[in-house]
Amino acid sequence: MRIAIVDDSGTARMFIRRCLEIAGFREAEIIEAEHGRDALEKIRREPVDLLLTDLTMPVMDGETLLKWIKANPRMADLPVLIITSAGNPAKEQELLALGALGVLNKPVSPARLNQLLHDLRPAEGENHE
Amino acid sequence: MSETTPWGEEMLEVVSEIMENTAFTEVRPAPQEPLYDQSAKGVSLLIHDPVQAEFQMFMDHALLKYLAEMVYGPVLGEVDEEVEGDFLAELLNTIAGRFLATVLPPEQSFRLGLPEKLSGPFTCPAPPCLSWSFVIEEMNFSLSLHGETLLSLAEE
Repeated sequence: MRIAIVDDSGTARMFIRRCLEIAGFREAEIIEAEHGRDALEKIRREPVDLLLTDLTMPVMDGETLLKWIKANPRMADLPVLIITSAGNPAKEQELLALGALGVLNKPVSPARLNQLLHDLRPAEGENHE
Repeated sequence: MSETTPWGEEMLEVVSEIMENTAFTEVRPAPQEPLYDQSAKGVSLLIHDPVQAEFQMFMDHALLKYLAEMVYGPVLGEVDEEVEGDFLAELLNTIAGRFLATVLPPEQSFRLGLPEKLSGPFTCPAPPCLSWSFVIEEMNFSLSLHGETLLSLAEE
């Protein structure tokens, strides 16, 4: 399984990577990107199975990245999980309407991430690879 | 002072919930405006839409270190200066987001800028300004908010 983590904070990317490992995705191949545009370039070259993205980032934010992915027929089925610290219920509804798989509020915990990924993708959650 | 500043209760509720959820720690309003030494860390965050305003936060370095280790320590192991800075930025982002979700109408979405590091002292950047100060384990942190379009809502 290949997972993209998109966040302008190196600490946040490292933290989410560790959370994924603890949550059972130890064997997943992780692709890191610093913003939406960086992510688009990387996942066009090497498609991923799941993308986790921050919302507020320089160059291209998470909402714009989501719109780009959902507008591209080759990427539209990619599950996109938004991880945000903003706690903005109205924005969460907008993101879900745009096609986000879910919205997870920071701080992320391994347990919460595991639960969400399992709940959202039960078939793959059983075997995580 | 936190008790008499407009939105004091709302900010205390937001900050308490976030600190309990992230670091399992209790927050209380500061009895007086804290004085921060040179080691205190600050961060600023602009609100772009639907109102234009700026949040600032200052925190005793000892408190920042304590909280960052509580949150990141178990997962990352080592907490260095970069992690502390990123944590402070995330914390202000979270506080600002929850606070706006509390004081703006429920259906109103909003857009925040990117957090930027600040160096002291902790003062109101441009009046009019609201500020709130809190204590965790005898260590202080303070928040300020300025921007007339947002502050006018506090008078409604």
